[in-house]
Amino acid sequence: MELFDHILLGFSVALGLKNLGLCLLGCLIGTLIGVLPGVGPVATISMLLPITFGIDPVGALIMLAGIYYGAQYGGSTTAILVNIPGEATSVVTALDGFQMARQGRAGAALGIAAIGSFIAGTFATVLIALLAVPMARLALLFKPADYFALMVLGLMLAVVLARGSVPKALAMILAGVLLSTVGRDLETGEERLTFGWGEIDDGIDFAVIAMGVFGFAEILRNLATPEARDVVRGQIGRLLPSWAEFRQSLMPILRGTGLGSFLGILPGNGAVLAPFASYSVEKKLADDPARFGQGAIEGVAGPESANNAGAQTAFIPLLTLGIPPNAVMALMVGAMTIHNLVPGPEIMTKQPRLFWGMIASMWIGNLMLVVINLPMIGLWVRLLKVPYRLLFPTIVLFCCIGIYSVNNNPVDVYLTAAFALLGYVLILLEFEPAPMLLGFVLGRLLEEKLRQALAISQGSLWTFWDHRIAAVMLALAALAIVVVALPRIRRGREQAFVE
Amino acid sequence: MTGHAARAAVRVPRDLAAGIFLVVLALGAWLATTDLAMTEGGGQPGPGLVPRSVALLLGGFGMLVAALGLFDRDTRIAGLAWRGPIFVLGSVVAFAASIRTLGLAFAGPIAVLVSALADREQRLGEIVPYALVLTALCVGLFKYVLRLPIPLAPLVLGY
Amino acid sequence: MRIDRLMAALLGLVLLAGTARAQNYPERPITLIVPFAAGGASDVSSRIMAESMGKILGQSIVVENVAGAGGATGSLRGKNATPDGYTIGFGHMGTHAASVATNPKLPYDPRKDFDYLGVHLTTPNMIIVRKDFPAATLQEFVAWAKANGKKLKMGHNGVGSLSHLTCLLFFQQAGVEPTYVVYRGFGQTINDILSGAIDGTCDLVASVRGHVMGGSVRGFGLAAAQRTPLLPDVPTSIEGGLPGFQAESWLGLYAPKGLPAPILAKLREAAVKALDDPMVQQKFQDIGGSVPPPADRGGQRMLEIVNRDVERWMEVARKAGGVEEGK
Repeated sequence: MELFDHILLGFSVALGLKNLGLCLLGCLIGTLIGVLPGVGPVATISMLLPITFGIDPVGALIMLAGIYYGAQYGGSTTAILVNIPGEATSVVTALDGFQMARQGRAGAALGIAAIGSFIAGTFATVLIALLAVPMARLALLFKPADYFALMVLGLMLAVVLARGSVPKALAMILAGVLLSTVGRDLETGEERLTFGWGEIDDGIDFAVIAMGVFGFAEILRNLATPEARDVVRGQIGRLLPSWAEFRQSLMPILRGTGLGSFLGILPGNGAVLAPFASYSVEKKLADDPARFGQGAIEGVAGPESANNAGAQTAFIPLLTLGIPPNAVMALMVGAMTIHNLVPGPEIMTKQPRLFWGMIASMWIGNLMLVVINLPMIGLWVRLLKVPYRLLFPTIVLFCCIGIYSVNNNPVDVYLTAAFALLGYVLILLEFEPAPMLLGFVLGRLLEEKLRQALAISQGSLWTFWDHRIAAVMLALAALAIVVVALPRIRRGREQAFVE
Repeated sequence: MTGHAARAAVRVPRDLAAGIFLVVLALGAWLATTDLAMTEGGGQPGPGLVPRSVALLLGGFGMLVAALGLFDRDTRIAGLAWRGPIFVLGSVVAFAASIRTLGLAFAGPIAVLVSALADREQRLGEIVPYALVLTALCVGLFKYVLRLPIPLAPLVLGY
Repeated sequence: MRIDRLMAALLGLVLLAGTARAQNYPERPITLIVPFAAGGASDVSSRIMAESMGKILGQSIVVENVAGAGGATGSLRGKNATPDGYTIGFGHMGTHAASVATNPKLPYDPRKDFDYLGVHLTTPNMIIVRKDFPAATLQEFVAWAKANGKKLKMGHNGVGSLSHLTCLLFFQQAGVEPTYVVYRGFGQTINDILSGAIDGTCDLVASVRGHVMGGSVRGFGLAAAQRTPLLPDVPTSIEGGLPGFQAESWLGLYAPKGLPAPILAKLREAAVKALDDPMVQQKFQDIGGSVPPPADRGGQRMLEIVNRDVERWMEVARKAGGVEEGK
């Protein structure tokens, strides 16, 4: 069977001593930068590009790919331990993961994140091996109008994210969308909400907002209420999830994998929607949704799996069609061209060693990552025992350096301080930051796709009906509002009556 | 924030304050985008459409939240403190101001020490050596392992 | 901010003392500011030059990416950097020529604010359309465009980007206005061409090469005087009947103005010598461009090119201003 031959070829390439070593190196570096807040795979991969000049193309790409999905494993670590999502995809993990850490269950959270990611990675790799071309074609079915509708559906899911007041959560989503419009308009070049600052012409960096509104705000909250912060230091708890917890997480992991695998192939970083979608789905399907936000392990297992599956399938458009679906893949294109591999539809057929070697090495990389990350859980959990008076300045310094390194621009650091203040105000006023981040992440895509869709249809709104996928998605979104909001409004009204 | 103002703030119903905050935000965004067109030739969305519509909606929700807050007068703002924000945010600002001119070798300890002041339980004999060791570790990690182009000590070393 | 000013003053004093060090230049690593995010042709070519020039000068050259505002943020930082030879920068036809025309609030003037080291890479632009578009040559394409006007949907990567400017130039030459659809980055543009949502784009050979070679798009109208060896089957604009469509993008290096003459000379020499390095030539070819002919090398020539192109793009923008900007 041809497929069997391909897989054999892939493993023969990936298991070569040099490529194995490069994979390990990539995974280690990736884990490291995933853990460090602010520093991301884009900065690191570009830094290491010149070093790869001397290595053969397949090896170079294996290492760089390892950095990318390694960062996904590492990013959940800081989200769980100190409530700082390093990448857009770790925001959701911070919601329940950090709560688990506060309850002394950091080990279980970190463990399920690693295990879930490995299962997701395995499934996704198999998916790529079997269905790369059909999946790529599936992605091409999405025109801007369909994409817009998908984003709208995604925003509706954000309501489910909310733990408390619905109007306040909706307001946060809107605030996030508003923040996403800051910058120079892509179509006309006009400045929007930049107040003359050239540095934010390209918009506010996600890391700046996430760090400010999640990480720093959490520090400020802890400093204001010293009694609460010591709870973390009390118990260490198990270093791995219990069997019961694992059984609880299995279905969320599988569902998350499915969601992530699909959304990862969509261009424009559609994968960022996956963890949010997974969280909302799990919360909706759980028999006791009130647990979510208080440390429900499904809220970590699902999103982390979605996240890793998306990171793997993001390679599909790159390797089958030569289209980079996100910024890291665009870097891969650069790496490929430097090594005289022209990214395009011919890669699969003309460079089978590269294609199958990368797929095999992706699975090996996932295995390495779970082997690296699981034992480190003990180390991380012990870090939480450091006295808070030493821990928080450490977090502050790492965040400052991390943010600066994104664009070598002190303005980003100043902005983080501003968002830290905003985050503190949000905490005082009992607003939730997660919907705001979702709104931010989706807002830009939403607007771009809307304008592209209308440019293509020359202003006709019928385009959302003509594109069948869009029509279906929008109908689902309308349904979602009703299904999600109605019971909460009813409950809210009952509560009001009781009072 | 002085004690006086802090005490006054704590007396305001929380959701009323929350709603007012949203309205102010929305108003600010609305006023800052008056020169952006909502639509452009051919019925297409202009640069102003999304920001301004969102600002309008946000203002609406703000008023809703404020109104709901009036029904819940007893819930107050809790956890207001000034020491934390001043020193932690101050340390971030200090880092930003000094990283390119003084370099990581100096901006690092500055950030650690200033933010450490936010905690009354801080011990001088502990935090000062800690700041230096931590900075050294960060230099090793970020500059040498990850090879990031972060200024080290421009005045002393030139890079 | 007061600390900043004090430090700047101290730096100035140190600099005065430092001019005597020109003979030992360079004594420590040099920073090369690239005003774009990592991975594109700009960044990659800069890293290749950094590698080669570093060997020539005997000190490593470290790339620092400072992205933002289509390249303006990094270029501004380059303009304001201390002119001691330890900071240089990257610029291309967009940031250091066309931007004067497209950005009225540009915080620098490429004609006056920089000491140029030299152009290191040129890459021509071309038109690509989706595989099943009802036109296979430039003539057919222009005819179709003229007959269908706004029904033609062309994508580009943002106002002021090289793809936008190239399209503007092309359609001005062709005498017709298509509908423009704006995307964030080439990755999204090519995605929508492949999915059939839009009809085509005008972009660098470096970006589209893989897709043309793979047959997933059709390419024609190479905006150069001769066919490029990287895509020998693509006819030029001259062959296609639109000789006025000449758009070669150039990429080059600069130093902030005010460099001591001997240091500037050393840098310029290194920048030109690197172009003779076979590694550089090969890698540039790999990414879809070529080193400039000897007549176009060097800092002096780059200044002339900058001045020439500022004029050229101002003309294009002036003509486009008659029609709605960006549409």
